[in-house]
Amino acid sequence: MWLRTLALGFLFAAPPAMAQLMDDVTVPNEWLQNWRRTEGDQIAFCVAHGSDTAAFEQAVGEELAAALLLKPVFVESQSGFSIDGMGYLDAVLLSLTNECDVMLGMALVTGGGYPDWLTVTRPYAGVPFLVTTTQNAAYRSLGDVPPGRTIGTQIVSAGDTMLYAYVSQLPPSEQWRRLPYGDSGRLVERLRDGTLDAIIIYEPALMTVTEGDPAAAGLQVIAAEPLRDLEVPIGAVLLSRNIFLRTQLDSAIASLVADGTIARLMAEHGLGGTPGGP
Amino acid sequence: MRRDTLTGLLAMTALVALVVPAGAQTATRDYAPVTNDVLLDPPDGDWIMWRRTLNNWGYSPLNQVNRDNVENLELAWAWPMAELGQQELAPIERDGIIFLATNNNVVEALDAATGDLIWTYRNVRPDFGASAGYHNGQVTRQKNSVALWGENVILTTVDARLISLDAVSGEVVWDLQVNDWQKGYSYTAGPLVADGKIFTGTSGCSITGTAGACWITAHNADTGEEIWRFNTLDDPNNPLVDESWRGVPLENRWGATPWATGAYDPDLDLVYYGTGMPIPYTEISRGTGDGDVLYTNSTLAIEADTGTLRWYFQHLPRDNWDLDSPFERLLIDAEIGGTMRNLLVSVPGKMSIAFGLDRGTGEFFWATDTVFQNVVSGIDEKTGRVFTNVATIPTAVGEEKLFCPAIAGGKLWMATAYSPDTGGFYIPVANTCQSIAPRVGVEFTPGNSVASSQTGPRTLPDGETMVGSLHVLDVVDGEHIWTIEQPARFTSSLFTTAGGIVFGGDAGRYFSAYNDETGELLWQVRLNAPIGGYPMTYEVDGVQYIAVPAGRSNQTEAAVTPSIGMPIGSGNSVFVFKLRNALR
Repeated sequence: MWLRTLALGFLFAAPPAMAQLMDDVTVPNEWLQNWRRTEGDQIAFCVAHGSDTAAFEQAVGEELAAALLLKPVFVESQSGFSIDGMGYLDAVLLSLTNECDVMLGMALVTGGGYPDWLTVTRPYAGVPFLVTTTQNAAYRSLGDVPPGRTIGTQIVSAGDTMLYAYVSQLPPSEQWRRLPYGDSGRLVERLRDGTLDAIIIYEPALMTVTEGDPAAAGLQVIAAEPLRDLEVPIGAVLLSRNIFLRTQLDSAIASLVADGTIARLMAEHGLGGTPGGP
Repeated sequence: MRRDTLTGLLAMTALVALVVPAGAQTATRDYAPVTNDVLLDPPDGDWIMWRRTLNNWGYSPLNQVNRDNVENLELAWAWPMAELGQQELAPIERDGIIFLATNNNVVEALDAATGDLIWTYRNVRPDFGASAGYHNGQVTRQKNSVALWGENVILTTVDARLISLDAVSGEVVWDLQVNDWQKGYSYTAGPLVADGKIFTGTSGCSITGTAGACWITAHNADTGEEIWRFNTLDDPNNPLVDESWRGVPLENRWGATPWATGAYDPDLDLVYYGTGMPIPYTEISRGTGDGDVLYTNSTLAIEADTGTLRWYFQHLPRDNWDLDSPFERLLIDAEIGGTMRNLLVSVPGKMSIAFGLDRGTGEFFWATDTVFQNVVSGIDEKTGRVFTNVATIPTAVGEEKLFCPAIAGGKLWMATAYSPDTGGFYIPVANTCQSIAPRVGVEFTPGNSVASSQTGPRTLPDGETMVGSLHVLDVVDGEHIWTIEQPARFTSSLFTTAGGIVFGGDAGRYFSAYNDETGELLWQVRLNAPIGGYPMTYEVDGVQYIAVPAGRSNQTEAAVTPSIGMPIGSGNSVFVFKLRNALR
């Protein structure tokens, strides 16, 4: 019980966010609640609408809440933003100010990708991008695909970035052609119709598109070599003022990784990758 | 023509609209239909469209308020806006009714002399839900201009509909779904009405569901029936388009969004629209290499009757910085080298270079820098070919480049103006820079194709001390006439009058009147919030009024000008001024 009291005390003692001078946020201040959230022994998690990993995120949230002796509440946060992310951070600020304490399922962007008013937890999972071909293809790894052939990716994704970073180091005569798509279903469709020789796709997206059975859809996952590090670290973000809660969540995540809970949840939800992140 | 306005206290809730007539009294108003002749030559006292005339001058022939008496302006009335969001109101006035369209597609009609409410139209739209984050934000950034045709008010909506309202009652005449909002389509800008047609430029072309298609459409102004549509990302008649995308197929293209209102030349029967940047911002991400990516950042001259592209001019090929070029095109006739030429003059994009083109052919005449920019290294003096500065293009993931102006411009939606009395082209711009790098990591939530290039904080260019900048160029040759520089960014559009004045407002909440020949400050008033939208003027019963929107602005550059305190509240309102001791 001491942990619950401690968590609640610090969780709700911090002043509310004041965002009027944030360069990267354009939400009207009138929309931001300026009172402390009073939720008793609840902790509210946001999970993105339509996320391919929504069920997994909710399971993680339930375990995190249990570890903190709090009752979980889940709120659906917005998706459907433009590729350039316009308005996304506005929505994150609104959600974390008005609706939830923690936003789950967030990629832990390296290189300072988040603004100062957000803080990130340690990752609870590393979820892979997969190199995939049709079963007719003779390739056993990405490296078997001849130069000049076309590799499809999910636009602005980690897999897309990793492929570009690798290809750009090669002489032009040894490069693949990279073609980024905005829709995972279309990406798989173009693999199956022969437009693409291979694709690099987020594992949960592949499972969604193929209804959990890539083989039945005539696809096969092949080795990523020569690419490496195709796992994305997944964690949570909070408002920076909630530093105590973040510390508690970090501890809880460490415990759930250590005792095998995260591994169990990943297996239950069909996720490969690494508990605790790559 | 006399029309009955109200038949008593009536509140009608229709399937798609809530129209609320004001007050309990029965009232009548005169309202003369807006014909094609009226559109071509509006009465001096009316401001009947976005920039008052089809040539987008933003000029009024009214001169009751002039250099000698502008200091005697006083408040006539004020009105709060119905919805929160950016204050980008473009008031429209006809026959003593002022139409105010605000965020979330609320339209209000007021008596332009007294500020008395006549009717309110409150659009009923779908609940966008959690799957439409773009649209939930888009409702706060509508450009808020309506157009007039016949006895109707034409409105574009956030859910990609085109609606005709009765100008006197506010009731819906027809309602057309132009594009599928669930794919991502929307409208930011208001429509253009000319030649019996409604022209619209679509928004939302950076959403994954809109891949390969971004539209300029033409409709029958009486019925809304679609006449043609032009795709700004594709042109089967021009092989250079596909070539410029370097093999990226149509289904993998985004951007070229025509998100401002167009212009129309009745003699050439051409409609002019500008287009935005390619998506994603950086060529590394979009896979287009050194391609120009047509028709992004271009002026498109389209035959009004057929939708056929007559010519195009690309103002910023190979954009890597979100410096899109959709803004207003002004149609001006001027004598060049002894020959009267039909010019298209514009600062089309955020990079803030002014261009003078032949609007019949697209032939290049001149280009002039305004604020500092480093994204264009040169322009061919004969062909007008714009050379992108490759030194500012990121060539590797994570490589940071400083570019100027910043993503918010430079020039932005705040419109320029022209005065036929001075031959001056009046341009509100900002001195800013910013860094950009293709993001090292991934999307915010993996698998959803939503990310952004990593941008740094805005800064002033080296050696610059002022953000706000108002440039005046000679439309004949683009030469500078005069310039104002000040700490506060100009956050409103400009307009000019036959009274010898150019009006505009800034982030410091000042609305100002300048001598249009010298830039001398003649008068200013400080309002409740940054000046926004499209200030304008009109006349009712012999009295000239000046309407000034003020309210929330995303372009205050508060981080670069911290000494200018910004209000926390939005305070979106319109303030209307007239001369002290004016008759009414």
